[in-house]
Amino acid sequence: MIEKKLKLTLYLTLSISLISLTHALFPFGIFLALPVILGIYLDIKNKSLLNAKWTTFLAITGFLAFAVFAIRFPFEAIGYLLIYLISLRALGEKNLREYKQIFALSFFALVASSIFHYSLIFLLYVAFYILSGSFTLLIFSFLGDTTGHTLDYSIFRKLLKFVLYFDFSVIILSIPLFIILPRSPYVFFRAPSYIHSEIEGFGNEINIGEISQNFNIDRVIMRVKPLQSTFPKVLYIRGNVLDDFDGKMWKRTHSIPYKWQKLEKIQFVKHRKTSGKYEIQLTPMETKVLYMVDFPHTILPGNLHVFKDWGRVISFPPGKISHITVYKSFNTDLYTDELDNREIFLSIPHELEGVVDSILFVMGIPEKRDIRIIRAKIENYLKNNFRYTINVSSSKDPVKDFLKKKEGYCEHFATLAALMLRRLGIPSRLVVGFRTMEWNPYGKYYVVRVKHAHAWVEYFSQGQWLRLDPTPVQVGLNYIARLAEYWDYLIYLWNTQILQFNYLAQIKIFLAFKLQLQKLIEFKIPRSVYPVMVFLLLLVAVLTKFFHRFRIHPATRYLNKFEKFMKKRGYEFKIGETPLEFSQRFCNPLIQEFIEVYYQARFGGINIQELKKLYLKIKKTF
Amino acid sequence: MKFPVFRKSRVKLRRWGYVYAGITLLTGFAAVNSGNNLLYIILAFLLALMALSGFVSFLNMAGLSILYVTYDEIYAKTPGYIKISIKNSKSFPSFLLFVGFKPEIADLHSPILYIPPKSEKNVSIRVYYTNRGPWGLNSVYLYSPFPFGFTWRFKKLKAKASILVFPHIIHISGSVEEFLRAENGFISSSTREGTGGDFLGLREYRRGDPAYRIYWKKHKKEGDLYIKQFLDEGNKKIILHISENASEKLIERTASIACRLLEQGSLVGLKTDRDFIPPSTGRLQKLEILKTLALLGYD
Repeated sequence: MIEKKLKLTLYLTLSISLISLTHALFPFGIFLALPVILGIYLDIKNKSLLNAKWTTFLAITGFLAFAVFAIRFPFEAIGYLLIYLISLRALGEKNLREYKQIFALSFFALVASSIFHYSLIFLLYVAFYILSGSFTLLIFSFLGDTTGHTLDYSIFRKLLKFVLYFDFSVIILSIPLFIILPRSPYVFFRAPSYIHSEIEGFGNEINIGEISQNFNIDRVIMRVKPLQSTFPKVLYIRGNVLDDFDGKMWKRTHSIPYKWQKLEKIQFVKHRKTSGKYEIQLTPMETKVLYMVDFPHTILPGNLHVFKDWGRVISFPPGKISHITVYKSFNTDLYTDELDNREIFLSIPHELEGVVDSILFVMGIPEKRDIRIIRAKIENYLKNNFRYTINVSSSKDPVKDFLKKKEGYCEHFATLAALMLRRLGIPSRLVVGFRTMEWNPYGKYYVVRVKHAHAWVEYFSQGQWLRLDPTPVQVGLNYIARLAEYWDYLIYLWNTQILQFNYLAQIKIFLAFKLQLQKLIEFKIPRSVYPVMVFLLLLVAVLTKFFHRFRIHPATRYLNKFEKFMKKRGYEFKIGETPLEFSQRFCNPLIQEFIEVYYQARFGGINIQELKKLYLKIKKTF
Repeated sequence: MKFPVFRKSRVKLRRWGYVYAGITLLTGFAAVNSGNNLLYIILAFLLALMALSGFVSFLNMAGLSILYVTYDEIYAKTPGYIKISIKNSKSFPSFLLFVGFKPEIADLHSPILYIPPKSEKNVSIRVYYTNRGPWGLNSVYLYSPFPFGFTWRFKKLKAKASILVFPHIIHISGSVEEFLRAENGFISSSTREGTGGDFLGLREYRRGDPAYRIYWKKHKKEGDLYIKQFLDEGNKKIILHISENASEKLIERTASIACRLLEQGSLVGLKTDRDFIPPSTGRLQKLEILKTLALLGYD
């Protein structure tokens, strides 16, 4: 007969690991795990659905089916097979052996879920699993070794208390173990990234309005940490560069087909001065595009492949999280020393020429076309006459509608600015990417979210592509609650310190430790401190001895309490009266029992709890 | 359950421990070869749990000592019980302890589930002795699979107790006289104490005497307890005579007869080459006779 307490703890443990795995294999994993609920319900009622033969048959069949599935998706197959086996075991007949099997399967489910997870939540799953799992192990050990005995609630509570202390120690000890466990620079098999999410509006063809799909998505794409003391208030992340506009859609026609080139670090540093250095923590995504702080001249690690003309990076190593360091040059595009195909960057649709000309006329462009004055005029005109809103209905003629309604968002502002520049004979292009002002003060980094998707303009002047962002900055765009900032910082730490912890980080820690140890060894205590140390040691010894004399036995503590209590009730100990003599003055068996137990506790070594109980009883009775 | 046999080692890995070690190794292999830090987290937890369980197992056994060993009546070739009081003098509790006598005599069915800190707990251990006589109990072995049953940890505790094992008692179902005649025993008769005959006299109350035979009037006057002795019509005073060189079989027969006669209410005495126990009744008399018989042949 298996105790209900064991079932309870076992199923709690199983639930934690199953939630962890089904969370990763959502939604199909949930359907596979549903029979487990039925199995638990039946088990509580001491019933089962499958006998041993059926369980074996279904297990073999399922194993073969998942083996076929594993050819294409090996990691998913392992996860689904585990859920399936747990479901079968939950529905089948069970004894202590089967419960142990369920426990082992639950552990494998937790291990399997580590393939699919990358978030901080996993740590919570593991912590809860350790707590619940160790308690289950303890109960297994008790019931397995004490045949015929049952666990009463007093022992159960004591074991629970023990497990709480024990698991706290386990968590503390596991931290140094995590640091010192050996790690290899060569990894034989790496689990693929299982994050299936893409961001709309960064392809080679973008309809105006497409980017607005991202404005309500809070998901973090990357966290960018500046490694220098000065950094801009607003950070721009480049996504794609588009040159041709047909009135509704921006296209990338320039530099197609792609030319991939492996870039060397030295090559970049030679050409450009560094204006900033950024460390980018990328949240895993299923994308080949690596969004980049503009304008990068060197990207580390150096095995990244960079698209030559504007710095889009691809083929970064697949994994749970990618970490790169970017050396940013001054606001200029490194890859364009000479402008080819100038016409592409000056063309505007015929139907819009008149409209743009009329705006330019209203604006009043000076005869001396100084690019700085033009830039300021365009910026001022757009910011003063147009209102920023994300609630714009889709339109067949977005530019004209923007001019008519005088409201729109970044794509509308940037498109109009690009058209105005082109009409004035200045080559320009649309850049889509992200603009963030969300600064985390705790981690000192920018947070780039999907909702920070943005479009702006780049114009060509004196051999450089320069940025012009005509969209007004939104008030409150960088606001996040303090708690959210803390949480985000915690995730940042998780990504940087835990997920990306590798052998290099280990070596750094070891070297730092060695250095500190060396300093400690080499440290010589000045001779003048010796007398002080001797004095302090003596003082500690004397104080220890002094306080030891006043240490009261716990039983005496209760007797003192009892004495005070009785004094309040009007019964005082006479001078020289022993507790036994005091108790004999009363005919109350409770007091006599208390004194008797006191003597036993004080001199006989029995448990103090009994004395405590009696004292509380006396307090209640009198 | 098989009793674990330890050699030099104080710890022995169990099957569950091997499974746990295997799982840990497997997780470690997967972690090193995949570089997955989440697996490293699980591995760190597993190793921490393993290390701490070893430490807790050690701590569980620390500070334990034998306070006293008592026993009631232990007969050779018959299972008996020894009561052992174990004291936990440390500030932590001890869980799931088994007490045994290495290696033959052990009882894994009487575990001590919990000993609170700074207190003691009694446990009755089932024992089985093959021969009568004085047995030394110098050490008691404590075993524990605590906390997770990965290992058996054992500790030897000093007991310094001696146990007197009485001779094996043969069950006599029929008449004692018939049995005595059949076994060629020695019998000399005299007056025998009983319950139905004439009044024989008074004697002091001994532990084990039936309460209905207490002379309450005398007790009221004098305060002490006295027993009324009567002559039993059918019973006689019996003195069993046995030589120091008697065989084990004869000693067993003598002890069995003495017990049977005392059960029937006879006054039984014992005469050996060295000692003489005058005939009497009661439990104390039985213990006296059994003790003499147990030590027969020993210096």
